[in-house]
Amino acid sequence: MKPNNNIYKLIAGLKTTPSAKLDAKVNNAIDDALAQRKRIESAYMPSIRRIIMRSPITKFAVAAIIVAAVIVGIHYFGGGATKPCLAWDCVIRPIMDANTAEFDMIVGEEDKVPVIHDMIMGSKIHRTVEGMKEATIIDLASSQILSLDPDKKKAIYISLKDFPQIPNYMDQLRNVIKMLEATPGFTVEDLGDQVIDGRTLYGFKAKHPKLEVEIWADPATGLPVRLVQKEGQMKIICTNMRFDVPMDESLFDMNAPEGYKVEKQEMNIFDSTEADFIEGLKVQAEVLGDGIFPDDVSIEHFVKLAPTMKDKFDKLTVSEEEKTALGMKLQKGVMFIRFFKGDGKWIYAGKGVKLGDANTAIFWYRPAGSQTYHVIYGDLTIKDVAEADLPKQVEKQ
Amino acid sequence: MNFEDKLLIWKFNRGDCEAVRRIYEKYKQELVGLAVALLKDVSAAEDVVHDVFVSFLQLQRFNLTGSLKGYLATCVANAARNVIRTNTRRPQEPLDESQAVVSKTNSPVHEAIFGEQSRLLSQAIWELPYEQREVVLLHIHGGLKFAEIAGSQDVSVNTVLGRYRYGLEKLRSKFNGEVHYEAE
Repeated sequence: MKPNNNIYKLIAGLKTTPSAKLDAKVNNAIDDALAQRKRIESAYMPSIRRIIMRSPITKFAVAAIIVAAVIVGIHYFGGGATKPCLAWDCVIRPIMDANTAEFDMIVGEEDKVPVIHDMIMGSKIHRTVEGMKEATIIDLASSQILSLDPDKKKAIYISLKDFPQIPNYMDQLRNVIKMLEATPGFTVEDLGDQVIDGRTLYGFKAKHPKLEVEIWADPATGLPVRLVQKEGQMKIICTNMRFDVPMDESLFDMNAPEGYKVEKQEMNIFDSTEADFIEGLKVQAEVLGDGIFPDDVSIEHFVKLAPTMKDKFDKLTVSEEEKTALGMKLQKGVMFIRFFKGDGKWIYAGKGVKLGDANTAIFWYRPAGSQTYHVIYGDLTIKDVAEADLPKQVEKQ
Repeated sequence: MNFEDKLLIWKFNRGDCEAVRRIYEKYKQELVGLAVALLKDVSAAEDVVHDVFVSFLQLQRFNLTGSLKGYLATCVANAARNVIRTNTRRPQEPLDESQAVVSKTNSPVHEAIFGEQSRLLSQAIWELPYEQREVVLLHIHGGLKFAEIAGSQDVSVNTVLGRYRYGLEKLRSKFNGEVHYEAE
């Protein structure tokens, strides 16, 4: 080693351990700054909260975006899933400044479900699902979904009743992010480096009382490329995320193509009840399961079966009106799971159970605020059951 | 700038003062080491680092193109220069060589060698004129480019290069005889 290198090494490594007094002084200064910031926030935050809660847009922000995703998929008897990268786009500044976004979305575990590809521009989302020819455009500003079936030359408009108008999806995400960050209990944990899909990414985990998100960024660019969101019993993975990508505006055209037969539907996606869920279960067993309840009722499973379910509906020998009615029942049932309002987790044990089996519990959960559980049996009856008397599977889980 | 620093700055710009705590913990030893090397006074050095972080907390947000460490090193150097210029502080607490400026070491053997060398180097650095000392430390310790140093000192790059060259030559001449050689 040359002496000069030694000088470099020694100077570069100069370190002095600060005294405890300095540590205390700096930490006190930081504490003071935090306290001052809280005082300032408390002075004006109430009005901000009032504005947020009064606004139907922000009040339903998270739900609304997710709903739009599910709705579309449901229209195809499957697809949809969930809102992509809500709060988590927040973690990296560039996302906050993005005008367009593009990513692949997986509901559940990778390699097991169809990949949903989303392109976002302004208030509109252009969505396609792997293995399905249909394309869907969701316009959050007009609370409308346009589903295009190129094979049948059919365009279906779905109006989302009571759906808040969202002028710009990315702006909406920013609002959601701010709202989440302002919620007590919101924390961010540094996950460090990890090799994912052959790439070294830098991640962190943001936790909110109602959801948990991991976001992974490319250390070279600082841009997020992957996001994993866990909300309740649902998991969503966004990959290949790109921002400010040039896009063809015609992909977001809400006018039905020439020659397409146009149909219109309306639905409220927020008001699904237990009764809707039971109706949906009945449709799944009767129409899609040959009298047997499905293996699972999770959103992941629904997405996984999307293409198959669509085929089965197409083959039904009933009128189009009846198909639409059945489809609506299915949608409402899925909404109950998607926006589950009970306390704790729901349990499904209906795999392989025959419709009409009065002795086998297929689903149970605790309604919000209730001391007892609602247990649904194979004959679709409901019983109020104390926790101690729940089916044994509860203990396993 | 590494990703963690980007993230810390992003959090700070969004009002997260806890990010400053992390920044302090991450760089405090290097910054105090730099300040001690500049001022030859532990107490004054700690005051400078404290003042830098207090000022940092008062920022609403800031955009950084270079490294965070370099930015903080510049802040420390500016504050130390002010201390020198205004002459408001005199070395009141002579440096305790056992605690003051230490070199990062890898093993007991290295520590024995570099501990002594560090003491010699510290002495040599303190004998440099302040301007040369500052340039040498900011470039090697702070990782700043000469143009960045010139900007922060409001002098030409050539002036900075000259100070650096003279400073390094003096260090080399004072340090060479004592330095430990290894086989190349």
